[in-house]
Amino acid sequence: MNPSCIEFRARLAQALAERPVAELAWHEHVLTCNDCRELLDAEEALDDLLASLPRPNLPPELARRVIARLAPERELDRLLDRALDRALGGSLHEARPQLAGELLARLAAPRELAARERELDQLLDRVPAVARPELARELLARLAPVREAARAERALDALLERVPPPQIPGDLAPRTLAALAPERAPAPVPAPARARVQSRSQGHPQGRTSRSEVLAHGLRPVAASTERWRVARPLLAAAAVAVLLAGAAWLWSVRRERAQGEFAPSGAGAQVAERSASDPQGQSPAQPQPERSNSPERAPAQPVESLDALEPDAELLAQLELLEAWDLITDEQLDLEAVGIDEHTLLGLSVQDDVESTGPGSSAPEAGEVAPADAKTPRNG
Amino acid sequence: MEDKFNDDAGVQWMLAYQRGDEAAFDRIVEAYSGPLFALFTRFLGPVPEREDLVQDVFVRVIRARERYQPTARVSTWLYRIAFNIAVNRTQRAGPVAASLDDAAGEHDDGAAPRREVVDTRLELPSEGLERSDVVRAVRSAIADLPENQRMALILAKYDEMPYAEIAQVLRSSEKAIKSMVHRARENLRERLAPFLQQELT
Repeated sequence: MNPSCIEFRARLAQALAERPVAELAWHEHVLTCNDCRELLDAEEALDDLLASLPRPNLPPELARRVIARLAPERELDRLLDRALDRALGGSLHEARPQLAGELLARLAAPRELAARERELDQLLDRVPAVARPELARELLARLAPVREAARAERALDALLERVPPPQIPGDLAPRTLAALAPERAPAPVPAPARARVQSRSQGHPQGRTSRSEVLAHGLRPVAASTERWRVARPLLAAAAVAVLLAGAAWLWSVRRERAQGEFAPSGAGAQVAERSASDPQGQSPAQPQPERSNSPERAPAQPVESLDALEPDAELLAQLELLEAWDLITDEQLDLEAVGIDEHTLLGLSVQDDVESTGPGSSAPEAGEVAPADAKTPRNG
Repeated sequence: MEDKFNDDAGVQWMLAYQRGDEAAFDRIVEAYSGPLFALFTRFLGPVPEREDLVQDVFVRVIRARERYQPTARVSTWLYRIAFNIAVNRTQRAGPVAASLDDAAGEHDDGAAPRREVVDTRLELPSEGLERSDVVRAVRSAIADLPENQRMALILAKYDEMPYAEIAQVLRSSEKAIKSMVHRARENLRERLAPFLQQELT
């Protein structure tokens, strides 16, 4: 039997005493515990059995017997009333001396009837009650675990109550208030309340205790570090924000410098450009041609003629600035791709782009796309 | 929501304190410092810093003065704060304290006692006099309960707090609190089985 069985059976015992056990049919424990469900079913069956017993019908002659049984009393009352009327209505001497005899004679029949009724009642009392003698034992046996659990609960309660209540120091509240006094800084309060607080703190017996008084009591100074922290907190927050902003600016400048350095023509790139200038086709067998991409981030490279010496072309620089203006320049993948392309490759792409843009397959950029400034301008390599 | 707790004197005091009535805070401290001290004693044992913990509760009340909303009885709110403080203290300083007598012995499984040693001189005289085997065993069994079960049992058994309010203290549902108390009692029945047998006979 698990704890929820014990709890359920305690509830069942309570339900047996107070209300129909059918209410417990919806208890969640019954859904999971076969034993308790069987116990509940048995109790419900017993309830049904008791409810199915025939309702006791009154015997038809009962009313007659009751009236007959009450008749002597009623007759006696009538006779007594009549006698009293006679006695009090006239002289006491006028009362008939044989009244008692008459009364007894007239009451004889009802008295005999009443005696018979009493005998009948005694006979009925001798009929044994229709009941199952083992029912009580069965019920007690079924309820034994519940009662045992209840006893165990009471015993546990008794054990728990043996623990004496904690002894609370008598001066706990005043000492606590004294220790809290430095913490109770004046709050922004309404004007009347503020006046009251100020009057209290200026010598009222219940005014707040000073910090020296708290230390004199040997209590823990609660608010010393707290007040410092309250002042320092906004300063620390401002310093943290400033550090974050400076870090972000430094990161941005580093990225910008790196991006400019990667797209600017280096010495080797210039040499390659010179070699390309000697080769009008712009194709070098030693350099593999990278996969062409139509993404707008790929700006068309400058033709070989525009790369004179080490001076970068002004148009290329303008396009690089346009690239920096795009958020996509911060994408790491794009950075990696851009790093892997040298100037020679860029020149080859430029030539190919120009050829394709002038061919029949070229198309204008879709709405929402950012097109390069000279995307529709065919340029000869 | 506020009307629901209008009959709670603590709520009225707290609202008055919020409006600037410092005397209302005095009344709150006078009314609740004792129950809080008892709660800490039952939850943590006779640790020496119980008064400091009571002060910490009221320090938090002072700091929450401006944003206080009467969403529960003040006792419920204070017990919630006390529970947080007690749990923090337990995690910071180690398991629940027991008396010095417990530290001398060992557990049934031979393991060393895992509670910290507390000098019983810190207890009040009556606390020392009332110690007996049964009381010590009961305190030890309660101290070994998990924190939630321990607090639920203490509030239900010793403070006679309704399950609904305990649920507010422990931020849980009423059904879960019933289960917690039930499991706590099961654990105590296991730990205190010999004493229960004596009690039953």
